[in-house]
Amino acid sequence: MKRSKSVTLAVVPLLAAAFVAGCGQDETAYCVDQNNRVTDNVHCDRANNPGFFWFFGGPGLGRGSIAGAGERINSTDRAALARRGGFGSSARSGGIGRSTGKTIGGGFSGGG
Amino acid sequence: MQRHDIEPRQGWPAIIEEQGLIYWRTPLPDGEEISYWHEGAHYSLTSEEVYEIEAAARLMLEMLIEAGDYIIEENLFAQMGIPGWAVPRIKETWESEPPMLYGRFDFAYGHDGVPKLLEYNADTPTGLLESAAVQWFWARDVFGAGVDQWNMLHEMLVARWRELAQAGRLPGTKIHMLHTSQERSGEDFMTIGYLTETARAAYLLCDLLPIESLGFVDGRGFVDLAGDDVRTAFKLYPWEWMVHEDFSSLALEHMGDGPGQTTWIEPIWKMLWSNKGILPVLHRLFPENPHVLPAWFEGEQPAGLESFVRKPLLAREGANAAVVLDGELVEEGPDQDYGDEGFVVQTYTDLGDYGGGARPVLGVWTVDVEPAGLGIRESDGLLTTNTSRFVPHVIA
Repeated sequence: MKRSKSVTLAVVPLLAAAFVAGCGQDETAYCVDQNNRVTDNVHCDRANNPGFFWFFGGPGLGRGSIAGAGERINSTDRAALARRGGFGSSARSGGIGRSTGKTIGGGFSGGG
Repeated sequence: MQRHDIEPRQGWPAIIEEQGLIYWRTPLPDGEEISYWHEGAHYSLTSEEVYEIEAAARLMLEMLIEAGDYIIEENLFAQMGIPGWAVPRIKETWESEPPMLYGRFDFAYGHDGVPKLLEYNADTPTGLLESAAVQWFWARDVFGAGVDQWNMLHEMLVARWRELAQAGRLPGTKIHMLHTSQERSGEDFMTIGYLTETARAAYLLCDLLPIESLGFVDGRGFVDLAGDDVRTAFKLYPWEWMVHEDFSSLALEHMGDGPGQTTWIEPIWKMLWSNKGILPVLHRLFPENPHVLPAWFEGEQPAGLESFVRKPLLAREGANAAVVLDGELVEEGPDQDYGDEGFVVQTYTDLGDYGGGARPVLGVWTVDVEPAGLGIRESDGLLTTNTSRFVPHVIA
C-alpha cells in the first residue's frame, strides 16, 4: 500500500470556513498626518518624523482620503511598534497602507 | 498510465471545500470560471510505473546534491540571478543542513514512459493539500477503503515534523507558520493551514502569522504580534523575493538556531534547487541521463535548436514561459513580469495526450529527501499554468 493509512483534518475545515467567512480580512495600517489624511508609508517609516501616525482600520482607503475615528499610534513610538512589514512587498504593489496581520475579529492559532 | 472519465461525486464542491480546497474556482481573463479540481476524470498507474517514477525521483535527488556542489564550486550565483549578499548564507546552510521539509518535482511523462524533469519546486510548492488530503478522500469515497494511490504525503509530513522535533532541530516553543495576506484565493493560507495540521499531528504548537506582520526588535530578533520570539518559521513565501525585501539583511544576519536567531524552513539554500538555472546545470553534469532534458542558460544553447521552452530563472505556474516548436512561437504563459534575472532554454518534450487533449504533468512530492507521492495537473495547452486542473489518480 502506498497510501497514507489515515488522514485526519481537524484544523483545516475550521481555517477554510474562517477564510471563506472573511475572518482572514486584515486590518490595515495607514500612515496618516495630523489631520488623519492618508499618506505614503514612507513618512511613518522614517525614524524621526513626528507628526505622522499609524492609523489602524479596514482596507480600502486611498491616498489623500481622511481616516475616520480609530486607533492612532505616533509613528516615532518605537516601543509600541516593532518594525513590521519588512517582508511581503513583492506580493503587492503601491506604497499606501500595510497589512498589520491582525485580523478583524480575532486571529488564528493552532495549538497541539 | 491511463486517463479515464468518471462520474463526479454528488455535491463534490461542498466536500472539497470542507477539506480545505476553497480555491478550486479559477477565474479566467474573460470573466468565466473554471474548476481547478477536476474529478470528472482520473488517472491510473500500474505499480511498476510508480516504482519507475519513484526511482527517477530518487536518482534526481542524488543528482541535485551534486548540482548544488557544482553551483557553489563554479560560482554560478550571478548567472542564476542570485544576489551576492545572499551567497554566504546559502553556502553556509548548504553545509550545515538546517531542517528542510518538502518539495515537488514536475515530470513530463510522455508515451515513451520515461519521466523527464521539467523543474523542481523546492522552496514554496503549492498543490499540497489537494495531493495529500483531497485526492486521498476522493479515492476512498469513489473506490472504497482498499484502493491504492501513490500518496504517503500526510504520514511522511507528520513523521518528518516529529523527527525534527525529537532531534531538537526546531528551536523555540512553537513554530510560526507564515502565510501572506496578499493572496486572496486562499491557496496560500490553506497550504499553510494544512501544514499546520501535519505539525499539530506531530504534537507541535503552531501559530499562524502573516509574513507581513512579522516584526523585528533590535537586540532581540524577529517577533510575532504578541511580541514572542520567532525562533522557527515555516514560510510559503519565496526566498527569491525575501532577499530583495526590507528585512532581507536582518533575516540573513539573524539566521540560525541560537538565541535571537530564526531557523527558516525551507532553508535559504533551496534557492539553488528552485531556480530554473538548476536545469542547465543538471544537463551539464548528466548529459546522458534520460530523465534530464537538455537545457542551457539562454545564449549558450546550440545553434539550430528549433523546439524548446524558454523559462525565466525565477517564475511560477508557467508565467512568462514560451514554447517554440520548429522555430515558431506557439504558446506563451501569462505575463507576470518575470525574466529580469534571465532565462533558461530547455529542449521541448511532449507531455503526451492521454485523451480529450489533456496533457498531464506529474508532480512528484518529496519529504526531506524521500519521494512521498503524486499529484497530477493537466492542461489543454502545452504549458502547465495557473489555469491547469488537478486530476486525482489511483494505482490500479
